[in-house]
Amino acid sequence: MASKWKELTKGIISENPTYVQVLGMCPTLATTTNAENAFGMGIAATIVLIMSNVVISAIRKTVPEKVRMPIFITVIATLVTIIDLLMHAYTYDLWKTLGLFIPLITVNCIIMGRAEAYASKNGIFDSFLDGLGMGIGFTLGLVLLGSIRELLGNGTIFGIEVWGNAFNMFAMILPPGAFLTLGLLSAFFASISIRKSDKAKKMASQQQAQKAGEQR
Amino acid sequence: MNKEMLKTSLILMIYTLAAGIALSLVYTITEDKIGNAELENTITAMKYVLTDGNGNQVISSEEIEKTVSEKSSEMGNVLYTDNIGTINSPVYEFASGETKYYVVTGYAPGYGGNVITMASFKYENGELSLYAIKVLDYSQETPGLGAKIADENIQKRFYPIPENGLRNGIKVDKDAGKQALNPEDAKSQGVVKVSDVMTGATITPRAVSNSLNAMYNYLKKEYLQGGAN
Amino acid sequence: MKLLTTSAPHVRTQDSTRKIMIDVLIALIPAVIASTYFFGLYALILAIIGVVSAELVELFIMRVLKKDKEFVPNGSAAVTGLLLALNVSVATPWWVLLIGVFFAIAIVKHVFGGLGQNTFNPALAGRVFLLVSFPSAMTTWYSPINKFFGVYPADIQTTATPLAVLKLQGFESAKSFSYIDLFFGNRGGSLGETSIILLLLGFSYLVVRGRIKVMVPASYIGSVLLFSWIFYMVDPSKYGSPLFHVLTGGLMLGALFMATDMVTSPMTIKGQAIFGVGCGLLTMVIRYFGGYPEGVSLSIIIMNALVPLIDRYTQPRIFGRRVA
Repeated sequence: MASKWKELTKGIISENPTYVQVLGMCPTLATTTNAENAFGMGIAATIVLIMSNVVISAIRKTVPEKVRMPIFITVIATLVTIIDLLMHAYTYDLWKTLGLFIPLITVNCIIMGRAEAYASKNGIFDSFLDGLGMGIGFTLGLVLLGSIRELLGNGTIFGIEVWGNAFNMFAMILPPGAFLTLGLLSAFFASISIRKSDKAKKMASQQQAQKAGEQR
Repeated sequence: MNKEMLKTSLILMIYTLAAGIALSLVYTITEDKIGNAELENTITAMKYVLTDGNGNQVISSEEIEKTVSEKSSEMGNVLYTDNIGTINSPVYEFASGETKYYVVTGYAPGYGGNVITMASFKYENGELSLYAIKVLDYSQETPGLGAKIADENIQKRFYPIPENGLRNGIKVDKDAGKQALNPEDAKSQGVVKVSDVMTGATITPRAVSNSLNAMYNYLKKEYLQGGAN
Repeated sequence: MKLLTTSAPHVRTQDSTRKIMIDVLIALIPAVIASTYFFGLYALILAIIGVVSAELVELFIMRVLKKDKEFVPNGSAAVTGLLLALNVSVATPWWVLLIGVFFAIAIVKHVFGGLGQNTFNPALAGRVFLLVSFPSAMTTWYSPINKFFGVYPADIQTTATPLAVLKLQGFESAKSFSYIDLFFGNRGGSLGETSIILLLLGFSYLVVRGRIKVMVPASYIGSVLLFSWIFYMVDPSKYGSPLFHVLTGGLMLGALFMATDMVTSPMTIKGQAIFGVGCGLLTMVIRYFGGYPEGVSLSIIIMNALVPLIDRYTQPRIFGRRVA
């Protein structure tokens, strides 16, 4: 059971698609101008990711190695188009808000990346967990970036005014702000993992020293 | 031919076929619903631009729905373009007594893409004035900057404008060099005052003005000139 | 990784860095005095805020974040802070300057490797960041007040800089600024850029002390003169005279003090010439065809990015060996 939990949570910090794997950069930078758009994009991508992982895992034994890429893309594009049509018909307002983001999910590298790296090689339930975990990590990563950009650039978070127009830095809403924030956040995530591995190394060498001491 | 190549191509074909079937299935199921949703959207927007200052619709809902449904096949066709603004809907004509109302939808390039606006024009006593507008699509504009055009109060800076203001083309106040005017005076001169509420974003309101100018020019020169309807 | 052999000096002690920085600060004093006269008391306040906050930010980063217990201020941050302050308008709020200082020191300088390692001129990158972040605060200019420690009245009108007038209304209108005015600094602009004569004074101090790479401003200003002369021949009313272009905007401040930044400019004379010409070309392109009236900050930063490439291709040859 512990390993199933691991499959789910690895996408949130240690293998976060945005800050660690550096996947799906295009929508990350484009849709994080505010927290709400970031959230919408994240959720939509997560749904597609889960579905695509499950489908690809289900068909994995029938897909020849040589044409796996075209088949994956066909599956992904079909899923996205179906979701786009369904949203257009049944959830018109939400569809209008997300607009161009929906077809953009097709080219989100996370979907293709997980299909290739995981779903094509693992069972359906594991692939489902992987998709869910990566999707959650992606959404959280986007919302974090979008919140910071919205806060510094507009004084609001999710549309709620925090400090209004007082200190707005336009650069945060524009591409430079996106790149800067993304870079600094990635550095922050990297420092977390470095600290973790340093701690592990320290503990390991301490244990060794203890053992050596006990043997005397 | 190689047996493996054959097998691979066959599998690929089967998958694309399955995808095609799945898509056409979903498309058929949703086609009508989507058409209705779009129609609903147009009708709602039209009701909005045919509402006077007191919140009363000047044209009845049934008439609006009937006219929109009648012309639904013409929706989306490009009617006119002056290479800056384009009209991509039929002219919806309504009459209320001696007064006529014309509603059109058009777009012009904004910051990231086209900004789509629906506008109603009132024709009374030989004068064609801008009655109301609703910006339908601004999704490509920058949030916090151009996307502020979504605000109804900002859109109200664009209307009503009398024919004197429309004749020489509507301009954003920064382009006209008239940032000192108050919103009401500005409208009577065909100037849209937005520099105080949309600082640093002129491209988006300019797109709206450009599409409105195209609409006015078309209505004045071609539609009305072409004989009474 | 190929190891790049560069020309001397290779060793630079903490002490000599401080000596150089103090000389630069001294060289900028005339410009600071000028700004206090042209733009009043607030100009001086901004300059002080720039210097002090820059050193404090660096102290914090080195002692607390990088855990370098032995770090003492060496003046490089102070120079960055002062240059940034001299690059903003007197209408800039002090907290905007603080944000710019933080960005310049913490991100442009230290995140990119610290003293000697950063690719971009921190003061200029800070200024560009502020320009994009606070467009209206950074493009609001006042006419000179011409009074030491003067204070602007609350209802002061904004004015257009000579280059803005050139861009929007053409050279005929821009001629209302006399060359004498431009030379002494009687025009709207950023705190340090207006007084050409005092900038030259400070610059000559640095030349005498041997602290400056003279080829950079020589090639920069030379290429500006050349390009603007060519365009002036084509259409005087639109493009402005060469002398006009040299005396307006941030060109003098940029060419003399910003492009010559030790860390972000090329090592060899040949490289510096290329760098200077590139800056000149880009500056004029932006001034003529770009959306901004002034192109100095942007062109220097773009050229900063090319400096490693320039250095690589202008390496001095090791005697007896072919260039690889």
